[in-house]
Amino acid sequence: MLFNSVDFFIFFIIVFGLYYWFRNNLKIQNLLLLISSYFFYGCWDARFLFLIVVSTVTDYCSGIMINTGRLRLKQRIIASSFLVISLFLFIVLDWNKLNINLFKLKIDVHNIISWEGPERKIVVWSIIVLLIANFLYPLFKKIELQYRRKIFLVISIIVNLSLLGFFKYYNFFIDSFVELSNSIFGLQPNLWSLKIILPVGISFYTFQTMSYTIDVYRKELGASTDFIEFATYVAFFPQLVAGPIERGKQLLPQFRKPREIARKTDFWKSLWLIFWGLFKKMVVADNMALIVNEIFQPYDNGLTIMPENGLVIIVGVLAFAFQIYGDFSGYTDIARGVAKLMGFKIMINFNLPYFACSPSDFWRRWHISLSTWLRDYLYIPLGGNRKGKLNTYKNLTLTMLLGGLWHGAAWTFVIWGAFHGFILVIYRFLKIDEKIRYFSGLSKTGMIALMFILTCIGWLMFRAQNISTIILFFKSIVSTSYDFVAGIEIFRKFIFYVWFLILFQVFQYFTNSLMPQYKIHKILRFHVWLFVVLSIVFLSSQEKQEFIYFAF
Amino acid sequence: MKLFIKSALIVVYIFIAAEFFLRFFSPVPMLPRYIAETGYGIRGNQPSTQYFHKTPDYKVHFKINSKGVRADREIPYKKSEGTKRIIVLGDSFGMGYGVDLNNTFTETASRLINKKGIKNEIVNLSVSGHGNAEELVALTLEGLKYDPDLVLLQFHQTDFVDNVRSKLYKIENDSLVRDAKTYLPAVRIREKLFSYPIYRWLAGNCHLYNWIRDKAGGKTKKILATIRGIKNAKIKSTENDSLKPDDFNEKESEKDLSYKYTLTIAILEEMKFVCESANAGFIILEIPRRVKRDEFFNPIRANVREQLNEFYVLSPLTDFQAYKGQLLYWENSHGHFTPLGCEIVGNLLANFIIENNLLSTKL
Repeated sequence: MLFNSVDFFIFFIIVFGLYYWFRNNLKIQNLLLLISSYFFYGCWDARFLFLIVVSTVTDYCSGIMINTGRLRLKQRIIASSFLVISLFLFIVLDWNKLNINLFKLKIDVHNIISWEGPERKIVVWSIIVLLIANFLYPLFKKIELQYRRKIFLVISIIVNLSLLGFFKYYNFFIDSFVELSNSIFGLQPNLWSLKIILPVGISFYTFQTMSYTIDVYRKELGASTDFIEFATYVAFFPQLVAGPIERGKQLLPQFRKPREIARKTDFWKSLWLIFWGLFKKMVVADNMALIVNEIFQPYDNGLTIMPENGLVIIVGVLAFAFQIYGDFSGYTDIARGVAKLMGFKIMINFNLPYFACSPSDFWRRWHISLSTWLRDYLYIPLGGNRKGKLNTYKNLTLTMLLGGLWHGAAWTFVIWGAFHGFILVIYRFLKIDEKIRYFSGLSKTGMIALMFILTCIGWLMFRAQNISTIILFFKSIVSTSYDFVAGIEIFRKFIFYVWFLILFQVFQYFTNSLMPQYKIHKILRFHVWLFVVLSIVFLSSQEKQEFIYFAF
Repeated sequence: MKLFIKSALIVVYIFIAAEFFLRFFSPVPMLPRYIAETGYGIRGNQPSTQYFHKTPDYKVHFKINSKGVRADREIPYKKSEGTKRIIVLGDSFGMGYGVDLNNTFTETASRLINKKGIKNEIVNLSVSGHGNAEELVALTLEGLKYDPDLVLLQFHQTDFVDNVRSKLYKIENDSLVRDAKTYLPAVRIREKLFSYPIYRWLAGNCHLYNWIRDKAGGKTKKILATIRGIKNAKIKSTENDSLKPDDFNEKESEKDLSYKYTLTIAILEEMKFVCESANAGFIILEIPRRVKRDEFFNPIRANVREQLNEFYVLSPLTDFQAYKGQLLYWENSHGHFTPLGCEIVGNLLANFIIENNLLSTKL
C-alpha cells in the first residue's frame, strides 16, 4: 500500500475516523494503531509480519530483563501468546490465497491454510524456542544483574542482526563467496543458495528496535512494560517501512499519554507536509525516474558499451539526485504529516541536504535518523574522534562503509559508503569544516556547489547496479564529446519538474525555515498551496514507482 | 450567505487557476468528436460541421460534408466517368485524426495512384469509434451507394472488442446473423450536449474540461474492464504473453476469446462477400500497435491471420520498423499517426494497390 495510492487514502480515512472516535481511550487508540499498522504492512506480504513480531517480542522481553531483571507471568503470557497467534495468522494462514471478490467473498478454508513445507518447520521451531525460553526463564532470573543485562542486550542484537543478515545479506555474501572461490581457486562450490525475498522495511524496524534495547541498556530509557504500546512503537505505520528510524526515548512516550489530534494551524501544517511530500514523490521523483531509468536501465540489464554522450549521463545523475531526494524525503514528509494529524511528532529526517557545504554537514542533513543512529551506536562506541587522528579516520571510514552496506547488499553500496568515508576523511584532514565557518557568502556557495557535485558522484555509484556501469559512466563523462542538442532536450525535461522544488528550497534555506510559507502573506501562501496541489493533480507521472527506500 | 459567496468565488478561482495551469504547464489534447445518429442505426460524423482538433502537437481542421464524410467537397453518389472510387471504412485512424486532410494516408495514397495515371477518389466513411460491425452496416447501407471499385478496411486492435460489444451481429448456427437493430452508445446525449454552444466551446477550447473528461472516461473503462474481468476470474486466459495490448481482457474466458475472433472473421468474410457482389476489391489495412517509439506489433494475431488467407491484408509494420526512433505516432495526442506515419502508410497502400492491380476490377 503506497502512500500515494487511493488504497492508502481510504485506509487512512477509516483509521483516522476510528482514531478520532476513540480519542478518549488511549489503550484502544494504541490497539487500533497496532492493528492498522499490521494491516498496512500485511498488504505487501503478511508472512513477513512474523519477523516484526519476532523482533517485537524479543526486544520487549529483552528491554524488561535489562531494565528490571524480571518479567511478570502476565507479561510472559502476553508475549508468548502474541507470538503463537502471529504464527497462526501470518505463517499458517496464506493470505495470498484469500481471493477477495467484489461480488462474492468466497473462502476455501483448506486452501488458505499452509502447513506443508517451510511453514511447518517455522511453526515447530518457533514453539520449541518459545518453550525453551520460558523453561529457562527461572535460570535467567538467577543470573547476576550486570551479566543478565549484557546477555539480554546481546540476545536482542543477535536476533535483530540475524533477521537482517539472513533476509538482506545472505544471498549477497553467498554469491560473493562463490565468485571469489571461482576467480581465485577456479572452484564452483555447490552452496546452499536460497531465493530470499527482502522484507519491506526490515532495515528500519530492526535498527529501531536495536536502538531501543541499547538505550535501555545505557539507562537512557526505561523499558516499556505495556506490550501493545511497545508493539505499536515497533510497527507504527507512518514510519514502519521507510523510517525515520525513531528512537524509543522520542517516540515511546508519545504512546503513553493522550495525544491531541491536529487542529487549526497544526492541521494545516500536517496537510502541508502530506501534500508537499506527495509533490516531491509524484511530481519530482516519479518523473525523474523516467529520465533516470531511460539512461540507466539498459546498463542494469547488462549493456557494456560506453554511452556516447557524457552530457546525457550528467543530466541522468542530476535527475537521480532529485529522484532519490524527492522519493525519500517525500515519504518522510508524508509520514510526518500523517503522524502529526494523529498528534504524533516524528523527527525531521531531511534538512535541505543539497545545501550542505561539507560531507559532515551533508550527513547532518540527509537521512538524519540513520546518520545519528550510526553516530550514536557505531561511530562513538568505536571510539569516535577520541583516540587520535588515524583512529578517527578509521572509524569514519568503517561507519560509512557499514552505512553504505545498510542501504543494500551490493558492492556498489559498499563503494558509495567508502566514497563518502573517503571524502569525510579528506575534509577532516584538510580541516575544511572548521574553515567554512569563516567563509564569505560566495565562497560558501562555492563549497555548497562542490559538495553537491561530490554528492552526485556518490549518487552515480549508488544508482548503478554494477561496478562496470560506474566505470563506463565516469569514462563517458570525462572522455566523450558532448552532444548539446540531446543534452539540452533531456535537461529541459529535468528542469520542468524540479524548478519549483529548487526555488522553494532556496526560499527555505534563506528563511531558515522548513515551512517558509508561513512567513509570507496569506494570499501568496494560498497560491503556493494551489500550485502544489495542481501540480500533484496534473503533473504526476503516469507510471507510479515504488518508494526507493522500501528496498533498503 | 457571505461565507457561501466567498467559498463559491474561491471555487471558481481555483477552476480558473487550474485552466491556466494546464494551458501553461500541461496542455491537454482537445479532440472533440462530433458524432450523430445516421439514418441506418449506427454512429456517423455530424453532417455539415467544421471543427478543430487542438493538441500540444498539432492543430487540425476538420470539415465534414453533408453526407458525414470527412472531405473538403460534396461527393455525389454517382461517380464521374473514368474515376475509380475507393471507399474507406475505419475509425479515428482511418478518418485521419492528427493530420490535415491532405496528409491523411488515404489522400496520400490517392495522389500517388493518380500520378500513376489511375484517376481515383477517396470516399472516407470512417467514424471515430467504429468497429468492423458498424463498418459492415455502413458499407452495405451507405458505402455501396457510391459504387466503389475498392473498399479499404482499416483494422485496429480495438475492433475485436468493439464487434462483440456493439451486438450488431452474432454467430448463430455457425453463420453471421444481424442481431441488434441499432448501436448508438451515448449518441443522443452527445448530440444534445453539442447542440449547446457553451458545450461546444468547452469541448473545443477548455483544457480543464477535456482533462476531466479524459480521466473520467479512462476510469470508467477501467472499472468496466475490471467488472468484466472479475466475472471470469477463474478461467485462465490463452492470450500470448508477448502481446500485452491494453484493451485485451487478461481474465477473459477461452470461450469469449474464441467468440471474439470468430465473430470478427465472420464480419470480415461478409464484407468481402459484399464487396465481391458489388464487383469491388477489398483490402484490410492493419494499424500496428505502438509499444514504444521503435516497437510495434500487428493487431491481427497469427491464429486469426491464418484464417484470412483469401484476403488482401496489408501492414506497415516492417516499414515502421525501418524508421525506428522517428515520430510515427503522436505521443502526447492520443497516439494517432503523424504526417510521417501517414506518408509511410499512404506510400505502402498506393504501391500495394498498383502492384496488385486492385483498381482494374471494374471499368
